[in-house]
Amino acid sequence: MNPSKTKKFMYVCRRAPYGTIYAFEAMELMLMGSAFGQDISVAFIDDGIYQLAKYQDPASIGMKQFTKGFKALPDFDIGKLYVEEESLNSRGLVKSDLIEIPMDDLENAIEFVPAEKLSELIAQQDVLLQF
Amino acid sequence: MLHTVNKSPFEKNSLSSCLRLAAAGSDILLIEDGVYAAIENSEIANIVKGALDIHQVYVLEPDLRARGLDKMNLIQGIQKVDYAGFVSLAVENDSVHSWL
Repeated sequence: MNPSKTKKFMYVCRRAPYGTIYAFEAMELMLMGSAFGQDISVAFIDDGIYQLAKYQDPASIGMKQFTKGFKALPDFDIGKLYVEEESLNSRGLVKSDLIEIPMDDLENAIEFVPAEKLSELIAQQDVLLQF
Repeated sequence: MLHTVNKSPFEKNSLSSCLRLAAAGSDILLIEDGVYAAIENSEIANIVKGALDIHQVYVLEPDLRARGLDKMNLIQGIQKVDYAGFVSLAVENDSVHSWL
């Protein structure tokens, strides 16, 4: 394989933000990994959708709000962000419970997709990294 | 007895095991990722509402606030407590069982 070929990377975020270190580690890697000029997307499924909840205030438990970093993803050329609708619905959340991530002309870079569509997107990836 | 649950009900079965085995009348406190069980209209909301018939169910407010849940629609009947309330529950009950 041509080593200079751009690969499609997808970060798959499946964990809630503060109870474990997974979500924080994924954020670090997303921002760092973007430097390598790959085609990067991020999918939020299962408890990963909680990372995008509005109004987080983890000062109340003595932690930093690392999830603010999601707003910066477009600046790192990571503008393909997907939330699986099934994960949102089964948890009793609606779209307006989540933050919006503006990018260029887009009001919100987050795209809400059904599992069927996300399945297709996953199938197109060269590399999948799950957290 | 006070039962605390600190795992998301959508990732681990800690809450369902707790609800299966906790004696009627015992107190249940949702903490850390366990607080996600308190959201209304989720696929487990009815199970939590059923538990309210036989238990007092509490949720730790700072953990709700950390996760942005305090402004969401929560199941009625679940009582919010602060850290002092957590301590009171631990003291009032003769023992604490942590479901991890």
